[in-house]
Amino acid sequence: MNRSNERAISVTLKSIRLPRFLDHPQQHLDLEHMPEDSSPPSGPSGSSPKSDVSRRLFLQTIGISAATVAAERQAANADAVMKPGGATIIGPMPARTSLQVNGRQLDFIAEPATTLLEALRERCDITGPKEVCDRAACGGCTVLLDERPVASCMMLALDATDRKITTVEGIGTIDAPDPLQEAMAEFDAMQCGFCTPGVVTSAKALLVRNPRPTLHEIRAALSGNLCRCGAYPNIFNAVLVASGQDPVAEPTDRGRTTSGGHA
Amino acid sequence: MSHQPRALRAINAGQSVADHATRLEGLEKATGAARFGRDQIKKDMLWVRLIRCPWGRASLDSLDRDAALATPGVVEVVVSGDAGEYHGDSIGYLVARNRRGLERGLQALDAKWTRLDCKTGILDDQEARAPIGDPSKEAAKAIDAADFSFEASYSTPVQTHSSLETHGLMIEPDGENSIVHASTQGTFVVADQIGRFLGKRRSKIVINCEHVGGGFGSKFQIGKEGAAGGLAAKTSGEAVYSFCDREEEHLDTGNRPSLLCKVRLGHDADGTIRGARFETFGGTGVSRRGGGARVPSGRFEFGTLDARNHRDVQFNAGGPRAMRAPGCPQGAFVEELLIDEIAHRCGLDPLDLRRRLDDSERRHQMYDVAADLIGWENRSDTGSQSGTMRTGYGIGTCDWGKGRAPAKIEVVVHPDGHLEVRTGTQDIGTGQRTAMGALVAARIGVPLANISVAIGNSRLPAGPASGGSVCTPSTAPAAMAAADLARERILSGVAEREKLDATQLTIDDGVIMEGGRKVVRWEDACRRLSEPVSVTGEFDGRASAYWGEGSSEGVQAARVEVDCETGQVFVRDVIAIQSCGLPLVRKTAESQIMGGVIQGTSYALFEEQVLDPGTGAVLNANLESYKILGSEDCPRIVPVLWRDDQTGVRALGEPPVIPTAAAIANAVFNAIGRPVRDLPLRPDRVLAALAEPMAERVVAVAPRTTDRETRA
Repeated sequence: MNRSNERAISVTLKSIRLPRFLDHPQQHLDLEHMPEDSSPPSGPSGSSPKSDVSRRLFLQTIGISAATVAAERQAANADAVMKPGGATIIGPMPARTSLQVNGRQLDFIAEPATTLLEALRERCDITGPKEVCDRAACGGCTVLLDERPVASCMMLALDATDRKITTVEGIGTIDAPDPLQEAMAEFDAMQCGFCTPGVVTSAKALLVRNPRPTLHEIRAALSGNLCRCGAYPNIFNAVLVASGQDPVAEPTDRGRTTSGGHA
Repeated sequence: MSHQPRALRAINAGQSVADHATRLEGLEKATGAARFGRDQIKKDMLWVRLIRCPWGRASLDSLDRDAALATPGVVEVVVSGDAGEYHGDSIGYLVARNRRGLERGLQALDAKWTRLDCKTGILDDQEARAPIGDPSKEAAKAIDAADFSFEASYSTPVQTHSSLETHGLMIEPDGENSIVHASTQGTFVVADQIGRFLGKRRSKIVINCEHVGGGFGSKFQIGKEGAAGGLAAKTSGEAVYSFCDREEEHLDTGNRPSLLCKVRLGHDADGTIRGARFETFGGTGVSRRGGGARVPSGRFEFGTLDARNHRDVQFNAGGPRAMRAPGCPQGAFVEELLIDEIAHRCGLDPLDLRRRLDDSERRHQMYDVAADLIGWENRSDTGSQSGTMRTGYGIGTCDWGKGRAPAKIEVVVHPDGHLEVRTGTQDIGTGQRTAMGALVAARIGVPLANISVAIGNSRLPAGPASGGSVCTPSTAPAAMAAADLARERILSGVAEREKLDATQLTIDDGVIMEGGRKVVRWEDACRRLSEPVSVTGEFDGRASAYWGEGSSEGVQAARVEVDCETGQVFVRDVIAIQSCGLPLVRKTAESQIMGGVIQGTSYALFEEQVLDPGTGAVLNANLESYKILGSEDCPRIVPVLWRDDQTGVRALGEPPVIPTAAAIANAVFNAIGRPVRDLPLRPDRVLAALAEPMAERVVAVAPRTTDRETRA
């Protein structure tokens, strides 16, 4: 059983909401020949191997038992091995991986089980995407894959090698912010700011596919992004204004019944 | 509204010192440039993970330390216990070179546990299950003398803080010093606590918490994860990364404790409460204390009280820590729903009864404004509606004390006119950084663009932890003092050079003026400095000319819709009126209020830690099963800053979270005619309430309004 299978089972168990203490597959892994992760090499890499193990396949089959998924994956591997000159099998050894992030090519060596989020944060020093729940419940790790928002904690780095990845850092910078990021700051659409990179990324994806979203559409698009401090109303306003619309209407005075409270 | 100035809530125009200031680190956060403790990831660092008990109570039978140590990447396994008293209790920790090493090491450790019997909640306690005890003699006399007696029992759940950045720290060696990047709401608390684990003197430790991903009361102490990280750093001399994962965060980093409250009271036909007995039980898990609730709060007249009947109940779960207004939202839920129940029994408008029982003049004005903004005139009599969707209106209140602590703020004036505000206290999202910068800018008379703020580092001047809502009230007087010193310093130089009277000089938007005449620009005046000038303002925590007058009071009004077929509650609008003395920065103050309302709404509707009664395991230790409020659930919120003529800076962090759940529970009662006396207001509870008879009325009254059915 290889690392991908291990991860698949682990993540599947997560997805069916078992407590973590049950999250230990009974199978014992053969770790004898596993070297430790090595540091990423500098400079451009050679040819980047393609994963034949599709994480997307797994994502589509959430709900199927772990055993089924594992079996499918093993079959996929076996199939690949049998094809002369066909796809390369990745792992269990750490493998050279190459990602296109924010317009740059980043090369590193990691185990095939490394998630995209781990690769970005721990290998590429891109820490905008946050690890919050590590199971796609909160949106803190949201990145754009081409133009689609995905939870980078639920995807293997190897499955993103041929995609254009954009993190919050790639949407804009302090010196050259995106209008959405400016509106987020202007409307105080954050408090602690830990959810903010994910929120910006999801909202950016919304604006790309729908340049003038309604409040209803904004709420729906951000429903996967949890904010604990409670900045939602300001986030909605920031997205509305970033798309050239008015913020949500507010009362303009304190009513007719009192003179209290005026400055 | 299109005619509003951009980003200005017109209702709060002119209420704060800096109406238009934006959060200084806003762009840093919106572009991902802000580095939190959890983002301090080095290529070569050790990872730490605690070894935790998987059941409510269990003894350790065996573990294979050798196998764990033989696992690639594993560096050390420290086992110091052989039993767990709750799910998430720790018996040691594992150190590895990387994340995979931790995961495989824990697997290889193969801890085998024997599950033992355990207690899982307040109701495992016999006394808690029993009927309410007899009131004291005096209270009994008052209750008996009243027209009617009333008895009920209320409960609230365990709520977890659920900060998005988990608890933990990263420690890196720096020569003979250690830099500790901590996710904390107490820079100097961590500095004091970590040394004994690191084996280092305080002077060799630097705490950095420039950005902190949420802290709602649980991040004062370094915790076990911090202690283990410190020990690993001491042993190895290497950089160490020790953060909880999401499950650990739910299990073992504190919570708002559960509450059971039994009430017996006597009231007259006009709603006057003659006397009452309150019994409270706090669910403190394995902790011996921390389960108290503020009920009654003192905001309402309850006649002769017998209220000091509290007991903390222990069971097998993680203990509580302070959580945003500890004991208050749960107390307010009980007290405010109780008042609405009495109002209904007597056929009174609950706002009218509040006006009678509450003697705060400011809150009386707030009641009027809240009623006006929520549309109280559209409220139907409680229980008068039929149909599937029913609308309800409810009110809740709060108050908060005037706590203060010592604080220092340093202001450095640079020769280019730039002002550096330096404070070691932390900004956990409260807006502390912006508040200090904006206050110094306004006090001196220069644009905020001239200011930068250094914050969240133990090498900076000391300040309080972010707790008890004392941080801004305490740092503000120090900042004002520092700003005045800096201003005087520059103005006296100008006066001397220009042969003017310094007391006649003012600074307006970066220009030094005498009467209406421009004397010199601030930048040009500062250019005369040969070196940066540092001044420090200090607040001793007791007296200061800058303390001023003010208090924190609030009223919230909620409008809900209840789907009586599914039992689901939708919170549509919340009006949140809050005084906090002199508000400093309008936008961040509004954010604080809205955040309180949102957490309060979340507490009212969704949040509840669930323990399996059989095993004591926490069944929802993650964010997909421990539900917190999301964008689709968010009500329309109108935050109203209430300044009057208050001059002193007062508490704002905690008070707005207090009334929300109470107001929502009252609105649900109003909509369906039966009280739901247990939080959260889950659909099953709403449906169960609907199956009960309509709440009793003891005073016959003609309905105030006709039946208003389903308003969409």
